Amino acid sequence: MDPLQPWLDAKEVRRLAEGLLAPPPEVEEAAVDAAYGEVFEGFAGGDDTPTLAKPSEAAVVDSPDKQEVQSAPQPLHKTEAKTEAKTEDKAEDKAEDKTEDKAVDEGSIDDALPQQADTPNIEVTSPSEVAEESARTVESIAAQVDSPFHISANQNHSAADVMAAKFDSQEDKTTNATASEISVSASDNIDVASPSPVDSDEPIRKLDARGPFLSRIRQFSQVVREDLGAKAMFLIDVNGQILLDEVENAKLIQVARTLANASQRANRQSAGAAAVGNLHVKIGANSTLEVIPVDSRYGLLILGVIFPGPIGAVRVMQVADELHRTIESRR
Amino acid sequence: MGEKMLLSHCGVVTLTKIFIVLITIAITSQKGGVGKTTVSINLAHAYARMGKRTLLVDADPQGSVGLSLTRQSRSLSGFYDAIADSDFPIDQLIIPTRLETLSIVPAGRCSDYELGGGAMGVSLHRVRTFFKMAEEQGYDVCIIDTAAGLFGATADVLSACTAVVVPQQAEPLGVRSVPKMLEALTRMQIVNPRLKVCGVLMTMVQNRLAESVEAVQALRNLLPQKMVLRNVIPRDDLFVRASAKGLPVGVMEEGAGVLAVFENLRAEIDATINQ
Repeated sequence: MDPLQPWLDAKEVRRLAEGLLAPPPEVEEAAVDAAYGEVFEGFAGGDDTPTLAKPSEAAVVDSPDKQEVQSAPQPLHKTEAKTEAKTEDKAEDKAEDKTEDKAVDEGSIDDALPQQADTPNIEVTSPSEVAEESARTVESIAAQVDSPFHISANQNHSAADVMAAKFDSQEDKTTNATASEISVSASDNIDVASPSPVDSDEPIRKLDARGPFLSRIRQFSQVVREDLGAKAMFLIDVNGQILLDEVENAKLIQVARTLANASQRANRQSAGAAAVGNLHVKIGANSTLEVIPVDSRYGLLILGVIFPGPIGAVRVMQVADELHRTIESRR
Repeated sequence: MGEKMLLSHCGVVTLTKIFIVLITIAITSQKGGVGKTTVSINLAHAYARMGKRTLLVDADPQGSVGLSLTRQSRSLSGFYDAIADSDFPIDQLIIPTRLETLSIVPAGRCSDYELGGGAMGVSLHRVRTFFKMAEEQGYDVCIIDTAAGLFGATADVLSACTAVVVPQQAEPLGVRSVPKMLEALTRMQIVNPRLKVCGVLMTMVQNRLAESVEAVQALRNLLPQKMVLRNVIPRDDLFVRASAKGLPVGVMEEGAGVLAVFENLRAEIDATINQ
């Protein structure tokens, strides 16, 4: 008797095996791992604190005429330059790298430093000079490089609005509107509170969340900032559609999706596992991304919140519960 | 250190970094007790004998490599300490062996569970940093003995590795778990498209036991030819005796036969990786 055939689907197994043996797809270097990149060192170094939009620039949910004011995404090499600028003590080690990078990546650095494009190459004859020149170069680049973290000047993302509108219309279909719509004014949004101690045992505030979907989420965002000292957050659905994005960093969103999906699979595989895992990644010296998957009537939603440090399982549960409550609230 | 000072022809001293590209090979399986540690130790020994600077990393929280080769492994810092604290200098984790080209990093005092293990991706960046540090130390090959199951730190190791070898015990039950393993590896390749699957390595093969031979043959019939490594690891009392002495089988007096097996295996894996 064949020791295998009755126990497995031979065709399926063979298909899986052939898939594994297939040569890797030709992909651009940066696309190999969109989550980190080859030399991802976190976003430490420099001021990685999100700079928040002024209240007047903040989102007004019901103002579709406002246009997005967003800077273009920063290329990875700029972030690296900034990170490396902070490691002057290692300048000698990195001197050669810098010189080589400068030559190889001339075009991209020129983008960052257009006024230096015509600067003649400096002939370096000793390692110490290489180190000094390298440190000067990265400092000058770093001075002009924006932090990858910044809050969108206008949270009224078209894509996010479309998603939120979709959610709102679903709610309209399933509920009778009993409360009048809350029009969220600029002063309601994106207000930075001084971070409160995260390790406090006090439960976070309960929201009286009513109104359109997006405005409820923004109220939730504000509470998490004020009560837990969060720096910024984003909320996406399982397909990566953005519902709220105060971070504007595609890599972090990718990391959050990967973590959340892996966690969900692991939960499914192990009976009795906690519904909400404690998923966090250190992304900078004082920044940790907490990834909190929440099951809702819209399917799995993934919340990514940037805190100064990990907040612990109890807090994660509280945030997850509050988000769930906020989502499930009706208009 | 992977870095050398060169004197250029015009007499100007320049610093040139000569980085050897580190090949990282994870020894992983979904199922426990299939001989991952034995394969790891002896494969690392085969690479080291070839003159390759080899680092054998114990990424199994049970610390099987350390327990096999060092007496005080429980008190040594190791891989999981580096994962818990990325500033932990790798040179403080490396234990030299009598074979100059072979060094070991034990599992350490911290464990996967203390790191909040279970979720994939938690320690991926630090695993990558660890490999980068190993590369900077001038190692050519890094063999990683992982814990059973493809999740937690093992998944992060696979997400950062060059290649993976999957030992599988030559018996029907073990072979039936292969589909699960293939599914998990498929997920790993999504995260790490460059992960080279060297293939399933049949271990504990007993030529005198019909079921064992049939299991090997059935798997060869089932999977594409390249998916099952040609070399197999026989069941041999010598492995137990070597383990008792804390040695790779290849250094045992009667170990010439097994040494040849692992030498052939090394050559086959090298050929697969370099394809």
